[in-house]
Amino acid sequence: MIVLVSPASSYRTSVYIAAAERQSIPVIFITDGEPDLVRSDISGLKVDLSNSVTASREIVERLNGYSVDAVIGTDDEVVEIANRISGALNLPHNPISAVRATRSKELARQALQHSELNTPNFVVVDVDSYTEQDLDVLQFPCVAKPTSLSASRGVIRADNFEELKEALRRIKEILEKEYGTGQTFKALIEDYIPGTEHALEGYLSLQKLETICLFDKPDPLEGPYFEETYYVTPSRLSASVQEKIESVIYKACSILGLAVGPIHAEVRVDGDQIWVLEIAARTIGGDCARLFELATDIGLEEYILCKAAGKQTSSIEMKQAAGVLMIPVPSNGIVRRIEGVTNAQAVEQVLEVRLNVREGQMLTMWPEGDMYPGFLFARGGSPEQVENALRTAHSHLKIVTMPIIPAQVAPDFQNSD
Amino acid sequence: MQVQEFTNHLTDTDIRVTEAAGKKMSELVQATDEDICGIRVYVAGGGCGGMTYGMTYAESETEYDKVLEGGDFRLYADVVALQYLEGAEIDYVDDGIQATFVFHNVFQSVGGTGACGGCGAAH
Repeated sequence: MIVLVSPASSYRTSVYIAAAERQSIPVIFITDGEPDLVRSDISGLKVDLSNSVTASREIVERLNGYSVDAVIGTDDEVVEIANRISGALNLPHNPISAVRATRSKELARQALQHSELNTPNFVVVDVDSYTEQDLDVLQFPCVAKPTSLSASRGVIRADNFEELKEALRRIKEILEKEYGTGQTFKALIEDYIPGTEHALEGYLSLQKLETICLFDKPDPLEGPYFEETYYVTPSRLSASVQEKIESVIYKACSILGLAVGPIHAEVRVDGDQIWVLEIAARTIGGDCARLFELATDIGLEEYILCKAAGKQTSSIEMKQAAGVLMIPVPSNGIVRRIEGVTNAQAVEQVLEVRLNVREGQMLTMWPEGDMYPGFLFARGGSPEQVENALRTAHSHLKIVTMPIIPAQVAPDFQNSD
Repeated sequence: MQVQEFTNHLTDTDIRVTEAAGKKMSELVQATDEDICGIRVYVAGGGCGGMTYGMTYAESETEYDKVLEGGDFRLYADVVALQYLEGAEIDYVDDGIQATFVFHNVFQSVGGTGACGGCGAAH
């Protein structure tokens, strides 16, 4: 039996449950959501997941009597709980320090800093109390990012000190909006690494890394903001570069202490140099996992569940090329309408135009934003065909927005008491 | 029996628009190529950070809207937004660094600060 730990807000839950059903793998589903949101035919526990120590302790107690093969955390915020449960049940697991490093850009950089691997120079500063001397270790261009956010939110390139100051001001504003004012916020600033970006899905076990899938990101991600666009697989990199990427990521996992379970890693390739940008102890997030199924005929979650359950799986075979475009936000504003969907859908090799926004919804561009208006999926004979199909389909789409007029509330209430 | 007359028109006592704000709203309405009928004030969100007050263009008047006639512009607010805006003043400030509309007295009608005090976080 597999234990699935999943926060109530996760959109990974349903795909994991569907995958378990397809593979006839029994699961116990643990969430902090309301019981009536969980299907009645799924075994589950409702547990407060806000504290990983108490949550894992409670879950272990309540699992007494069950034979558990593995524990999977579906999202970043629950991977520590999943690891604690695995440890308590004497199942293969990662050290907590390793899991924490995958969730903190600062800890991950520190762990890799003195290794043989390429690691950008970096510094961590308070966003509103730093000096030019604090940044001496850096060279421009550099990239500033909050230590705590995800989905490229708040990640900004700066080509000089003035741009960096402006980037840190915006990061502070983003963090205040997210967590409230009156707090001290940190940002990590590191050298900008040129080159192409790639993402690897892998599974760690028995002291080796199995590469499940390597994605190319064919758009140049040079900033000033770093929202995702295209993911295409299989990779068009040479076999030797792909091997080098796998080797570097495995070394980085070993340095961090990761030894078991799924990983999602992001790297930059600059000539013959491989730079690890980040490693997460989970699968790729969101709808992008669907790419794997399009290319191989087996779902990523199915594959992970089979691996975790010790169920025999054939080796991964890329049957076709597949790609996704995370549709860019064209402008800040309120959606009026989306034009060209039928034409985009009609492009050969495009499988689906999946829109996540509706009329009246607010769209926010990066670096403040973190939500894509939708996704385009394509499958074809080669990565080039797939990429071209996605670009053509995107050229048909037009998201018409009503602009937001800048407005703010004066703090009059401070004088009203 | 005195019959109360309902109207969808707003007056200065409902929402006051300063001269600077009115001038800017007129400019915005005239500057756009979009098919619009005025400026819409909206209130969204809630939770820890309180309500978000914003403005955009209005495409059309809805049955839930009330309207402030501003001469060269019309200002729309629906009944939900009005609950949080009654008695407010909208000004426009351009200090050379930031140009923005500013909402004053937005908590006059509902009281408090608009922020949640539940978790102790400072907003």
